Amino acid sequence: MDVVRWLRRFWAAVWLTWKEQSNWTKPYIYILYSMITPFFSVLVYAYIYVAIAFFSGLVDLERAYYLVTGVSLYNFIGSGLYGLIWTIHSEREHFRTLKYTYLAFPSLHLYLMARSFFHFILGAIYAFIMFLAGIVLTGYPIDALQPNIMEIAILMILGYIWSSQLGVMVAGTSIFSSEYGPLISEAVGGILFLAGAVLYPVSTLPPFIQPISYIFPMVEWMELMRHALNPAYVVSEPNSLYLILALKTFLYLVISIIYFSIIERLTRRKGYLEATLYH
Amino acid sequence: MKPAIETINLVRVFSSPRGEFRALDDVSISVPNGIIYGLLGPNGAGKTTLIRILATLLLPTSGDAYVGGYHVVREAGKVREIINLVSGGERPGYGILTVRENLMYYGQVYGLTWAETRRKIDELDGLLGLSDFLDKRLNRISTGMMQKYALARGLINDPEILFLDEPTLGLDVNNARSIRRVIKRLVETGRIRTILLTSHYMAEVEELCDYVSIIDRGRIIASGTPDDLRRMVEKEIIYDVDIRLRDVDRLKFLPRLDSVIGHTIKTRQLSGEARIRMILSSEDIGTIIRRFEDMGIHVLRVRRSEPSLEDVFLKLVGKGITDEEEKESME
Repeated sequence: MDVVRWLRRFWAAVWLTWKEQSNWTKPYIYILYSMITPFFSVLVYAYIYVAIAFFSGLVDLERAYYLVTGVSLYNFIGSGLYGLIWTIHSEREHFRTLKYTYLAFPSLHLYLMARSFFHFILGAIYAFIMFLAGIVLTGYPIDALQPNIMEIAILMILGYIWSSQLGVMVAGTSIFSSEYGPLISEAVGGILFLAGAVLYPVSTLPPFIQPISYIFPMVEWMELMRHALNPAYVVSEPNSLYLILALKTFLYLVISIIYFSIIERLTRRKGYLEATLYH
Repeated sequence: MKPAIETINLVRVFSSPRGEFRALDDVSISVPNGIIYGLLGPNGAGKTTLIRILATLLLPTSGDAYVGGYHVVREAGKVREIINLVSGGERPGYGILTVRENLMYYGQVYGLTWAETRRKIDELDGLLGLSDFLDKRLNRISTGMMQKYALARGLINDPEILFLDEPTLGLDVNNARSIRRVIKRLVETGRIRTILLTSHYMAEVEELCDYVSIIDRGRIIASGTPDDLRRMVEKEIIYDVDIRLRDVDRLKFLPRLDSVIGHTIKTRQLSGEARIRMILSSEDIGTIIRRFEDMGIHVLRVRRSEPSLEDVFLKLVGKGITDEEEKESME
């Protein structure tokens, strides 16, 4: 396999997403916008925390850390996931280029991963800004943080792999429903937000939801990220969590490859690559 | 030597709650290397379905198809490496990008380097004349420019086999002529080895194609070189009759006449004139003219004509291809 050629293709798809996202303005305004948006998002959550703390008189910094890391890190997963699933919709319905992409890019699966890469980078930037702003706004002691950069990098890579595979499976499903495709992506994003240890631990969820939480690698990923950013955040048996996360990521990869190849074949059978059902 | 394209008993059935529609019915064609192969037929005849299958966008219901020797179902990836597709009336790119950016993008997606893609764009500019709109956004260019861009995009990877699906659809006469000139040059210069072109413009197929198959309702009804096909009607008597008439419905009696095998009517809305092309079984034009005059239809000209591919279609199917074709050839 010609790796350089593949990287060139991958890069072209990343560049296209950048153009698609930023075409409405000048690059520096877009970068400014990308930094301001998460800042104002975290303001909402920080305000909720501060308001509750103020009226109840309870200041729980551990809770604040959980909340801030949850909503910040969710941006990384959510942005990439939405971006990937949206690619199918925008290519087929808006630009009507999906069939040309299919002919030009040797693997639609990899193409979707490449197109989502920019969203993951954007999500990482959002997460970083929200995390810093959230920590400052909630009054969490910054000097207590001792981020392990290597661990964070590994977790980001694992996060990119599992969530992009989840995105590929959802995107594949959405090929069959042009009308409801974007809703499917929002539904999956919503489930992850609610059941993925973003705002509250899984143990606090109703018992019938808890098994759903463990279908996704999000719970292990969130917990390990919190621990990697701040070793004072205690997780029980981090090594086991790493192992579970790695296994789930691998499983997601295998399942999405099989699932997407089945979907691809069904799509060709139905002729849905060119079908524009919505507009 | 293996043919560039081959289909064997190809069938494609579309199912819907309203029933089944047989878009391709037992289609077998063989396209040798190095030619422009034309697929001629009216809208809905199955031309685009066949191209979609050959380009690996659609699976056949049954039968086999090979492109460049590769099976379109089992070796779809290999097929995609050696082909490209240009469809008329579409925007095969991103409106938010300029023409140059689109070509740069597709070049790299096909695996070319930045420098190779730039060189290729310069080359394509020389061939197609893109320079006037290379730096315009794709959503701001005219239909003629769009089709030149579409062709440039289709050539960016130097495909061995190029599928052209109605490449001049919706273009004015000058733009259509310029696109046709380029298509011809592509094969003459050996830049593209084989082209499969679909069209419902008779003149286009006659001008460009070395070999033609006529398709109607999913079936190939005749195949051969344009001369072979014309020979099918060399014994027929063909007349063009120009009349002054606005209400075409008054000509509904024509198919009922025993001597009329088939006919087409081309109207000129502005002048209120119409041209009727008729294939007759006997030299009985006098009776028909008298019938026109009895009905008060003013006959302007009567001319005996040489057979064309249009007449082959007319003879085989009993009607012309479409109104659009008629408009174009009259302008």
